[in-house]
This record gives sequence, C-alpha cells and structure tokens, in this order.
Amino acid sequence: MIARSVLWAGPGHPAIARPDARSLWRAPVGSDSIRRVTTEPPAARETEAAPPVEQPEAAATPAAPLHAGIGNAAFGQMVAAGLVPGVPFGAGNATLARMLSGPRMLSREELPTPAELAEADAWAADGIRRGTDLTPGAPGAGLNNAPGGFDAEYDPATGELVVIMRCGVEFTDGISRAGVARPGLQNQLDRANAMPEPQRRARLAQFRWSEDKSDAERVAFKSGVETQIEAFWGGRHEFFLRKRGWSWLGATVRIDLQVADKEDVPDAHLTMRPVKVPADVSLGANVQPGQLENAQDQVMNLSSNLNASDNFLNHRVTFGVNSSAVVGAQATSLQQVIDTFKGAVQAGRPGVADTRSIQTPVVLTGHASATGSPEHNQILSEQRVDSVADFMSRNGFVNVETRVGGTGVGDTEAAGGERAEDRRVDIVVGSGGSQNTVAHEFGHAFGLGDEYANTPLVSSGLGRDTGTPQMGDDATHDTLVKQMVDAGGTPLAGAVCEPTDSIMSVGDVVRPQHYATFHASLTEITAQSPWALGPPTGRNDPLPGGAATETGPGDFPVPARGEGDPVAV
Amino acid sequence: MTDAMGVATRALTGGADRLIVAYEAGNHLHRYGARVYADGRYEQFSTRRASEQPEWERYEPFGEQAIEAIAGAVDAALAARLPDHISAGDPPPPDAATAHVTLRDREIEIGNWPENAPAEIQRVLDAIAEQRERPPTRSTWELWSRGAVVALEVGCDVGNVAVLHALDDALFMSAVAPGEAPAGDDPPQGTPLVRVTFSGRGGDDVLSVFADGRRVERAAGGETSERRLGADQLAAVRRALAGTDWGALPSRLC
Repeated sequence: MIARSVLWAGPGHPAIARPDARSLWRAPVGSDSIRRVTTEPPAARETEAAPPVEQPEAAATPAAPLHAGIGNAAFGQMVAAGLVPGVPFGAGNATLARMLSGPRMLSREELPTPAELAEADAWAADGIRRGTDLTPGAPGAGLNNAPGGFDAEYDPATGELVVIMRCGVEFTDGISRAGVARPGLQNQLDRANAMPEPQRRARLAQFRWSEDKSDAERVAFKSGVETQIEAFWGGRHEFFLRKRGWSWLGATVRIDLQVADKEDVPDAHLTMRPVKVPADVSLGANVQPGQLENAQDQVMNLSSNLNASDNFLNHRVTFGVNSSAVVGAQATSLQQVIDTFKGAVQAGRPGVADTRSIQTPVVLTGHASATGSPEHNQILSEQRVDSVADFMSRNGFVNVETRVGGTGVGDTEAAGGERAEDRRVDIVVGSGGSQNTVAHEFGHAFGLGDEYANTPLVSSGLGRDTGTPQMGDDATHDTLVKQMVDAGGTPLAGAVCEPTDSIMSVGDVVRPQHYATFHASLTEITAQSPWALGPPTGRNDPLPGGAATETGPGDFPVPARGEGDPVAV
Repeated sequence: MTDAMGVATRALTGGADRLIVAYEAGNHLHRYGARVYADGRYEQFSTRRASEQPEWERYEPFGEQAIEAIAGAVDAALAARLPDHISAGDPPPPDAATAHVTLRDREIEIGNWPENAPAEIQRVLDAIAEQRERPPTRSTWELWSRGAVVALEVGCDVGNVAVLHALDDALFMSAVAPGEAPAGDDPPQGTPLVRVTFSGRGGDDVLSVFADGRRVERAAGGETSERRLGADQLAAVRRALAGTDWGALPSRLC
C-alpha cells in the first residue's frame, strides 16, 4: 500500500511550500477535490524548480526560486546528491548563503573598501575579547525573568564564541539517611517503609548520594551534565558581523561547562542541587534566578536523572468502527490539543497569528484496523485524517491550511483484528521530540525565560501570579530577540509564550531566538554590532541580502550538522 | 481549585469521606500530592504530566492518635488565617511549582512551592511525615574484625548510628567509589565477613557477605537469594570493616 499525503487549503488558500524540509502538500479541505499526493518527491520536486547557478562567489547571482521554497536541509541534500548544477560538492554554508543572497548585480559601493578591511583586520589583531560574570538576560521583563550568568570569550582568529559557565554541585539526598523525604518523595519513602528491612535499606540507598566525592554516580553526574549540555546548546546557530568589510568575522558558539563539587567552585555561576532519585522516579525541576545583576547566585533544582524527559508533542484521536467522526471524549481530547498548540494570536484578532508565533507544523497520520479490505481501510484512514484536520479548522486551530498536513496509511500498521487503538489518527506537533528537563533548565541558566503557556495540556488552570505564562505573553527574552537580525539585517520578530516544539516551550528545538543571550553577550564583549545570524562571508564579499524574513522567526541558516544530530529548526 | 489541579480533591471533601487535609503540588513536569481523611485513610499520587488526572494510591491508614496529631496541625494552620492565595513572587521564578492545599474545607493556593509555603502549612506536612515514620527495626551486626567475630546490637534505625554508615553504604548502595581493599585476614570458610540480622514483625531477615564476594539474603519466610558483589563493592565492605575497631565498641550501639 502506498502512503499518501493529504493537504488542506481552501478556496483562496493556494498551496504554500514552506521553506522547510517538512513541506506539506495541500488541497482544498472538505471538498471533493482533495488532492492526494505521494510523499516521495520533495527533493525531486524542489530540484525541478532550481535553475542552474552560474555566478562566481564574489558576485553571486543565485537561485531565487531556491530560497523561495527550500530549507537548508533540503537544499543541503540536493547539493550532496549533486542535483544543483553549479554548486560544487561539499559547498559549505557560507558559499550557499552567498549564493542565496539575492539575484542582482553588485555595485562597487557594496564591496568592502581596503580601508574597511584594514579596520577589521586591526580590530581582529587585538585578539580575544572577554567578559566575566555577564547577566545578559537582565534586560528582559515579565514573568520568570532569569538574568543568566556566565563568562564569555570571543576569538576573532578562530571565529568562536565560548560561553563559560562554572557550575557548583550540591549533591542533595532525596531521602536522607535519617529518613526525611524531600518534597514530592514522601510516597517513595512510604513505599520503601513497607518493604522488608534489607530491601528497604537498598531502596532508600538509591535516594542518597555517596559521601565519597570520587563515587561513580557523583562523577557521572558531573561529566554527564557537561557532555549533555555542551552538545545540546552549542553549535546550533552562528553569527557574523554584519558590517561591510567585517562580515568575514564569524562566531560559532561553543558551550564550556565546568562542573565540580560546590566547595571546589567558590565563584560558580550556577549552583546545581540534584536530588538523588532512582531512575524510575520522576521529580520536577526549576531555576531560582537570583538577583538580576548577580551572575553567581542562580540555583537549579533538578533530579539526579539527567535523562528525565517529557513528551508533550504526540497525541492521538481514536474512532468508532468504520467511522471517521470525531465525537464525544475524542472531540474533547482533540479540542485540548487544539487549545494547547493552536499558537499565539494577535490581541483582539482571533485566528490571526502573532507575528512572533512559531506556527509549529502538525502532521496527522491516519490508521485503520485490519478488518475490512485494504482498499477500504486506506480510504477510511484518509477520511479520518481529513476529519481531524476539518475539526481543527473549525475549532480554533490557527492556520490549519499552512500548518497541518497528513497521510493515511490504511491498515498497514494494524496489529490485526478489530482493535480500538488501530482506529486512530496520530498527531505529531513539530519535531515530536521529548524535552530533556535539564536542557530546558539550562536555557534559564543562560538567561532565557519560559515560552510555554497555561493551556489544557500544559500547566492547566494556573495563572501568571503562580509563575505560569499565559498564551500570547511576551517571553522574557522577547526584547533581546528583537535585537537580533537575520543574515539580511532584518530584526527577528521576538519571542512569545505558546506551547511549541521549542526547547524553552515544551519541545526540543533550539531556534535562533534561543541564542538571544549569547548574541547579547557577543555584542557586549566585542563592542561590535550588529552580529547577524548566519555564517560569515568571504573576506571580499558584500553583505548578504535580506532573504530570510519570509520564513518566520524560526528559520534561518544554521551550521551544518551531521546526520542524526538533534533537530535545530 | 481548578481543572486538573483540584478536581479529584474537591470531589471527596464532604460526607463520610471527611477530608482533613489534601495537597497537590508541582509544575508541568511533575505533580504529586497526598490526602488524609478522618477515618484514617491516606492516599498519595505522583505523576509526570500536568494534564493527567491523579491516580490516588492508598497507603496503610493512620491510627486514631496519628489522625489527632495531623488534625491538630491542620487546625493550627486554619487558626493562622492564611490568605487564600500566596504569590509566587515578583517576578516568579521559571518553572515554579504551585501547590493547592485543602485544610478541611478551606483551599489555599501557594505559588513557588515549596519555598513560599507558610510555616503552618509546612508543619502540617511535617506532622504527616512524622506519623509515617516506621518503628525502628532491631538488628544484630556480626562483623569479622581483627581475627574475630564481633556482635553488635542496634535497637534503633541504622541511619541513626554514625559508626555503621560506611558499612551500611557499602552493603546497600548500588554504586560505590572505586578503591583498593585493605590487606587483612579472612574469616574461616563458612563465616561471613558481615552478617546482619534484622528482626522484623514477620521474623528475621538475614544478610551475609562472604570473603569470596557472595551476598546472600535469607528472608523471614525462608526464601534465599544470592548474588556476587563487584570488586569495588566488596573492597568497600572490607574498607568499612577495617576502618573501625569494632571490638572496642559497646555491644549495644543504641
């Protein structure tokens, strides 16, 4: 059975190709003319649209149709496959960015002058710029403001910004040797107390850190934090100095966490208090941000389980036998998904997305049980997808026609027989990935605020006065994000609170806006601006044109990453 | 209380199921709670997701005296006339937890839990915890020390006996710091390095660790299980034994 895609766009909503590898095909919804297209052809389809690129780098006249509809990932795949004439195999981001910078002839005035280049050279020759005890998040405002706290170094020679955070660990027992449970663990203590004494002692020991500093679990925690957070937060985006003659100066971002026992780090930026729990026990986490201008008084409360994660982005709707109707409890459940992930809207304009909204795409996959013919089940699974999309469209989900796509897979994944769980539509919001709790909390330690919001599936029923942002609130780093510019010099729209797949919301995606405090630090310690998102240019290149704004706040050039790396936009 | 944070509690506050105290706390990453009824019932839940309804789990009920103690703490908190709402702060910290506490028929919302919990509320929670304390299990520790077996009686919880902490950790912690075992003589075959007999209500649970690394548990019901300690753990047991002159201690440690 061939999987099919179903797309939605009503009259007046022409199919829109998002500049993203997850581009969706669309057709009129609720009509008889739903277009069903196989999911195979993104690269081929996009390749057909790409004309030969013949301009040399220094005077790039690149592919306008490319940047109009293709994301980095797709374009990279095309280059790798040799599908883009004129682009050499292995061409880097810088080359591609220059090629994508605008279909126009350059004037002499746009090229760097010898004097400008000499000025940049002299500045770079002064060497590394350093800043200590930075609190770049301090200018933020609103709920949950966290100033962050770290040192930073920029080396013009290597083109690297290093964010250095010293973390002192106060190992905290979940249940003390004296039998006192931390908040949230009383039930675990009560359960252990019901066990025979040897098992009880073994169980309670899992809630205690060893007092020996060389203990394997203590060592593993410290090295685990370094490894995990440095990889997660580093290298996701990069900057270049968007000044004529200076744009060859770039800044990749590397995170250098220095994690040690608290008593060994008297000047720690962050105190971590990992509460020891066994792997099968969950516990919340938060950051106490401390004073806005103090870079060394943040405290992170977390569990000892560095793999603790939650997935908010995968949902499902089930159906009756041979039915595609969304009714009853399933309608209630789907409404909760809609109300959670519909996206922030403009004040007083329901249905009109906030300009800062991520507009996270949603992918629906329809299923049918194994009873009945495969042909009928294929149609039924597609009808179920249509039905869910239609329900979303009628019940408040913003921009269904551009955000929601789907596929019916018939009974190809059914277990057999008439099982309720086979009669379903899977709903995947954005990346669909789980959020690692520690990675999210480190976002706060870097000075970012929360981006989630009080919605049915996230912090339901909690108000601002309890510290829970509401849908559409400014994220505390909103103002910092607005000070960032894309490769073309256009300011980013900002950051708004809404449940999405972003790391500071309820997902796992590190977007350019999440580098706002790194960007602010880079600007501060170099005393240069604007540092724009994107790779540096060639030394004699003109500044890139402004092409990226049409892709929304999340989609800007990202550093090349290896296959299998976490998603970054 | 509102939505998922309070529905279950509110439904059970009246009639024969008279509620003395309940609380639900957490953020979108983790929630937990407990409730105590006048008839002694004690229930708790813990869940990862804010959107999930609590699955209350029953625990061994409280006796009358325990209920009296908890009710006394609750009434003291009620007498303190706490506000209905306690703010998380200005600005509230990121990912702050929120608690909804019900004292009989009075509901209080507390932001930035547990940091902002009033002392009166904390005393209620402490009262519950105190009433859950397990009576100490008497134990006998037979330790191979300097060529002889030394028997020590422990009438309190082992956690309260500092001299036993290193040995307790070596025996029961799943991970220990790597290190060398000190040189020393081993007991004769069949004599363990350590034998601990825990005297419970249902009989004796016996744990033995032998010089060859065998760790044998014999439950009160007679079931026996055996596994082999890793080199680091056995070395930790030996270090703990060698670190104290056990024969010089009084035969009853508490």
